[in-house]
Amino acid sequence: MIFSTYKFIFLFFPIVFFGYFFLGRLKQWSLMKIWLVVASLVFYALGDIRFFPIFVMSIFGNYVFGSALGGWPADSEHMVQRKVLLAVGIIANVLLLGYYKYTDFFISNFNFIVGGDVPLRHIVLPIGISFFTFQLIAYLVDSYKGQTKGYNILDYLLFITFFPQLIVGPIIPHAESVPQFEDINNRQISPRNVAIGMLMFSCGCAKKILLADPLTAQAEGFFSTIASTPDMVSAWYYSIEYTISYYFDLSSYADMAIGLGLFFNIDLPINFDSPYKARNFQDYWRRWHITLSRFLGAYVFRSWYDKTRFLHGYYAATMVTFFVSGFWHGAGWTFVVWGLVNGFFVCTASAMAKHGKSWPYLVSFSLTTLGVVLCRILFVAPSFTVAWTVLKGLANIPSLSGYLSGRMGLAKFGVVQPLILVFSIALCWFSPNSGWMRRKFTEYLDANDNRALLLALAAGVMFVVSVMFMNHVASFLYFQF
Amino acid sequence: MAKKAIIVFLTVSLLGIALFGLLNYLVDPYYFYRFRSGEIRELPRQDEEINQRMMVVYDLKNSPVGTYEGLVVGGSKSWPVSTALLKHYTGYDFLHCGVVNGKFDWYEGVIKYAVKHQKIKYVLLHLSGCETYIDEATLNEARRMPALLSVETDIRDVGHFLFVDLRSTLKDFHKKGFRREALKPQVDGLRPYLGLDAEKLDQWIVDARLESASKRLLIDYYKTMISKRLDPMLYAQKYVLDMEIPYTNKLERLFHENPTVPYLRQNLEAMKRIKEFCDANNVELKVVVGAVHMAERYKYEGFEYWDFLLRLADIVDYYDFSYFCDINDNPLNFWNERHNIDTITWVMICSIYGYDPYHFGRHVTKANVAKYLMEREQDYFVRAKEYASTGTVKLPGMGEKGDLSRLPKTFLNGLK
Repeated sequence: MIFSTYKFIFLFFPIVFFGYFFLGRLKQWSLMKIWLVVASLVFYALGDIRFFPIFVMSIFGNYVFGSALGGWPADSEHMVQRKVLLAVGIIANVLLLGYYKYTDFFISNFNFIVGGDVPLRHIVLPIGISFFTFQLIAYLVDSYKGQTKGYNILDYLLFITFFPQLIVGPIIPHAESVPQFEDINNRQISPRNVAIGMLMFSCGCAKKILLADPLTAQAEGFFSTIASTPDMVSAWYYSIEYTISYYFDLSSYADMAIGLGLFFNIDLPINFDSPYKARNFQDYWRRWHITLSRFLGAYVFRSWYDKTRFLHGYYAATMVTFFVSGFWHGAGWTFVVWGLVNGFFVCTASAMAKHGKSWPYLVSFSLTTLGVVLCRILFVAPSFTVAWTVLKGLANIPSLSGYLSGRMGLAKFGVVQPLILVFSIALCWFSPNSGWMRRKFTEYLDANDNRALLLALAAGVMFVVSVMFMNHVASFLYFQF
Repeated sequence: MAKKAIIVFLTVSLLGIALFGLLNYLVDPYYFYRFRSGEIRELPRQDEEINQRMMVVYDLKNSPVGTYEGLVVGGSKSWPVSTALLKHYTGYDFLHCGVVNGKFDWYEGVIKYAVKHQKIKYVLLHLSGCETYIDEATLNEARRMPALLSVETDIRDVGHFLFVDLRSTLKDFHKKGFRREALKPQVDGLRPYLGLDAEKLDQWIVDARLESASKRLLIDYYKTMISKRLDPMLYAQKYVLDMEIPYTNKLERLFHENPTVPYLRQNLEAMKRIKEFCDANNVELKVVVGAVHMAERYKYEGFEYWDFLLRLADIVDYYDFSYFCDINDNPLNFWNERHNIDTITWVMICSIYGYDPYHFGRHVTKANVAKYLMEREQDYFVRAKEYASTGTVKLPGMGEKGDLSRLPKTFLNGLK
């Protein structure tokens, strides 16, 4: 189910919200949690009922493994059993993810290498599987380390299934989410949090419906029908358009998730912090999909850094982390190369910083922006051939003569989308982000400042305008992961 | 302060949403409230911005029982089917239920609804072929399935159309203010361009009550040619062969890819239910598979689609006009990649009822489907071979084989 739909906003969410706090008023703390877990499971089932049994089996299976890992004492006597159990648990999760996400990838590579003709399976990917599998693996690792002692099954289920972050994140560690569900102060409606939640949700809605969807529709149309080298203007226009739309699509979901979490007094971490203002790729990845970066940092980078200290540990660990990130994002070599290219850029930025080298802000910002756009082409293109075709288009200077002579015109881009694109770029580069709006709003609320009412009014207007265009909501781009 | 902020937010939101609903009700961009009330019953159904499904269903609901005895059901390819011509052959008054983006959920829904609410005795089901691969999801408001087909009341739609996308509402409001009139097509320009007897032509067009989308679009087709001084073959090259992607790319995909038809199973199951329903209710069902040009075949022509046709014959006999032949090859018979012009459909209908001067169409049954498909496959590979050796598949042109863009006056003489 998509957040920015009538069914969610006017039916599902009010029932869950009021039901949750009604149980709180009756002081039924366990029932509150059960209500939220059931609602989250219903949320998932409504997204795609076919995969509901797999989802349920996976979370309960991991709970059994995690409990066993946490239950065994962490002494040398049980070290082997615990390691085996952990390995089995991780492998099981990876196999499940691998089956759904990577079967056709492996088949096509197998066919390519041995000249085989094994047919592709076209297996449909369960929604959110990449995200919840990551969280489940993290849970097993933390259980192995003894960090999940004291969690009962409800805590665990809430941590995994809490619906605002279930499908696409933000990825929140159990150590951050469980205490919030346990906090007795969070069991009543907090007008402050509800107000902030409304603001964040409205921002996210507006970003998704008014900015992301119109741009994505146009850009995806271009990338899905490329047959020959495009003209230079089209190549740049659609590449930039997709880059911008991708950000707004992802960050809008994060804003809505954070807003929804606040309604339940759960503070989800921010996921985007104006990434297109970054001055280098290291900075960019500190601002883009922050929780994923944090997760990969804790569970991939850290373990490889310790193992590869002898091999310029930081750089090796970075490349491995981005390899994993690329592979996680998609079952295709373009994603892997995308990851490695990003890793290379991050290493370059790090090396420059380490040696005290830097460029003027405009230069570094421009190069970073260019790098982001080029990487996005690799990310969205269905194959290297298409990516290369688009890249050639970016340098297709002779095609400009078509525009200069009047044979080709700009009318094909329309009027509305280019205006939205220019506005969106201006937002990305020059305006504060939704995190800033949240901070300001919180300050005004806490200081009883009437400017809070102005922001509430703005949020209401954003919400209403979003509702007016809500009939054509496209699913979020990250749903494909 | 937080409570005040929430009140401000909720007040603005509720007021805004109420205003939004009111605007949609007053502008009524999809005519829903006017159809529902019976205030309007007739509109040219070729306007892609109107929800034709709603129009048909409310026409059936609001008309006295017995108004219609026959249905033409199909997608946009069925638009040129003339109910006047069908009445000539069957004696029944037909309602044309052809809608843009026809799919089996619509076909099944409207047939069952019509049989329930009218004394339907005859259904001509015109299949496009693309039902097998086009996404099941509603594409936009104009294609939304009426709630009446699936629930007892239309309350769900009443609420839904209060909150339709503001873009459509504002566009309509900008054009014509509140409750716009639909644009009516002009057919006067049609007469000089077709070789048919003028009187008969007027009768077909007027009696058909402007059902055919391609009538308006035929005018556009000819106007485009005249205003742009395009030769018909140049028109065909641009708007038929190279529509969306170049013709050569289409041939490349047709002969080197094996398209999947993901909705094959669902379509066959729906077809079976339709057949059983018609048999149980003594409704005569005639199934037609419409004409297809080479420029469209790359989307679904292949082994999976032939499998669909094979299994379709197990369920019901049908008249197939989609095979490889001169009429389907000639681009002058089409006004875009996916749609043939009126004359082709008139020839098709006449052929079904025994008047077949052009030998167009195959009556496919369980007994002959295997042979028919083998011939079709052979024709495919003949063209594949031509493409492999020459880089193209040569198509006939004006006045050449299969050109039915101008039917001779003698055609009507044979109509019995």
